[in-house]
Amino acid sequence: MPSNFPQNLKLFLLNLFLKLRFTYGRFLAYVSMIPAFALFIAFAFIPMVYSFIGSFQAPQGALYWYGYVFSNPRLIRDLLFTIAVGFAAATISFFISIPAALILRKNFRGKTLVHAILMFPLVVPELIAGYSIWLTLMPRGLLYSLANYILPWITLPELSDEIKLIIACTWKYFPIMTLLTAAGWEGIDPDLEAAARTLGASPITTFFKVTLPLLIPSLISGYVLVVLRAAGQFSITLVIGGARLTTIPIDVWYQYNLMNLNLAYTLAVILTSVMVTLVIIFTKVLRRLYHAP
Amino acid sequence: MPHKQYKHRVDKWRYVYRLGAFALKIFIIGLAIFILLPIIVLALYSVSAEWNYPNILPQAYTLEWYEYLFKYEEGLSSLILSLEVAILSTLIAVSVSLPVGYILSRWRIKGRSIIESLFLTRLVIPVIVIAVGCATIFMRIGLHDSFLGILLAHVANGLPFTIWTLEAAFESLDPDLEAAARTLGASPITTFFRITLPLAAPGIIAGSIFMFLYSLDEFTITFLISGVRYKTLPLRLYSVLEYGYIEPAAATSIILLIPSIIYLILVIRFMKPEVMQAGFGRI
Repeated sequence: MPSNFPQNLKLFLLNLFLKLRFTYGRFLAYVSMIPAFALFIAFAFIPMVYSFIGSFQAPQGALYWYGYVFSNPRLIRDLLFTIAVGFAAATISFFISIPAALILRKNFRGKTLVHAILMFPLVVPELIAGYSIWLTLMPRGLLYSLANYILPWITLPELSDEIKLIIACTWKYFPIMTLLTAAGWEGIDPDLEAAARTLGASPITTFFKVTLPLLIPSLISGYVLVVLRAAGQFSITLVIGGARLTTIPIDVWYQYNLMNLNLAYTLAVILTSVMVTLVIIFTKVLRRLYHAP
Repeated sequence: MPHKQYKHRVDKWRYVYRLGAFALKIFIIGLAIFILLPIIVLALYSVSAEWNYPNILPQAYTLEWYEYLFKYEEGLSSLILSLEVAILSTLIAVSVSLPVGYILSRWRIKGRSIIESLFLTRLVIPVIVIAVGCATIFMRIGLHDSFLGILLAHVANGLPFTIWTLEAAFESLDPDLEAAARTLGASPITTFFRITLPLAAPGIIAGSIFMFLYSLDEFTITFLISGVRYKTLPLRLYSVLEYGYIEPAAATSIILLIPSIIYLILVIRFMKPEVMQAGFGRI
């Protein structure tokens, strides 16, 4: 028993109380995070894992369904087409985004309106985006009426479903890239460009040698996001092509309806892994090209 | 004379700049037409009584298609179901993700990168993968085509976006304000409810509206996990346009678009850019 017993005990109890309160508070805070994780893991993460595991289940062997997909020329065509749609939409968005971001960089009257119009496709649901593009581009629709009115001596060719799909994907997803590019551009120090100009570089050289390399990180993330979204979307393709225009997401749905669940899982896993790989390769190559961080 | 040389250079590029500004103006007008034209077509179809090929505008107008949607019990019940699911899932998702957003924005915790990459999977993996997985699991546990199933799927899949928005909202607050409240003797819980929550209210509202819109517009997952008894408004829209009824489908689309447009206006007028980007940049 220490000589200063009562004081010591008081200090000890106070210490214990503070410690408990602190730990208990932290503990309570962590416990309050559990419902969110439980919900996300149960109804979003486990379905993904479930698909992944399901793709390896076949009585003929674990890789049976992968062999089936890669020996089926129609499915390979669908896979290539899906990827092509993603990259086509992202590339068109790239060429729209740079001038659009250049406009957002300046201050002028009506900038808020321009900003609102540029953000508009983001809030339009995919289903409605696809439907409205389909309505506009359908044969004998408004586009053809307008063309007939303005240039009556020219007949527009009928657009194929594939081109309509690329147009719709671009329409829906390019603002992601534009907003990211504009945000990246705001982070660039204008003095750098001014320095290049003072040192005798032309505006064009300045853009390609100073501004563009600094923009590369935000352009890459925008490009990757657009590729992922455009290749992974389901509802736009469903509305524009019905079941005739087959991308991998449509195939997954079709096989699910036929109750070929394992084939559906396999297609989904292949799509995911191909896209992730492509995105990684693409990012690495672009970064090396521009020496960007 | 170096000075003269410099002036010469500026003059040389002046016309290029003017031409560039003019080209940008033309470009932005073209882009605005590209963005707005499909929606204008949709709006015109929703009020047109007759619209044939060579005419640029409908020959006759009517509001019959909006009535058509509400007169039949199915359209109205879909609208009510959609609103119920959207409101409930917003309440659940926001209340559940408040602590997560706060802790991720303020504390240094172990496994932070694991948590972040867990939520990022939702972005990278195509929605159809989650939808097929969800549909099979729901069929096994008996949640297929049920109100609870739709609700849970919406909450779980909208959560990452809500959490990101809330995280950005809390990050944009000054931590000194909370420290001041704590110094003045408020308990952590009082501080959270009296200082942090009111200050973060705009961001929280943005997150709630975002979740509301996500749930209202969600199609792919709902399409696979239900569709016979429980049809939300997007599913109803799909079944209407599948039959080729152009005008009623356009009217349904316009009704679905109204909340989105209100959200866009709110965001542009009132939201901080960093909160906005968390909601939009990552979708």
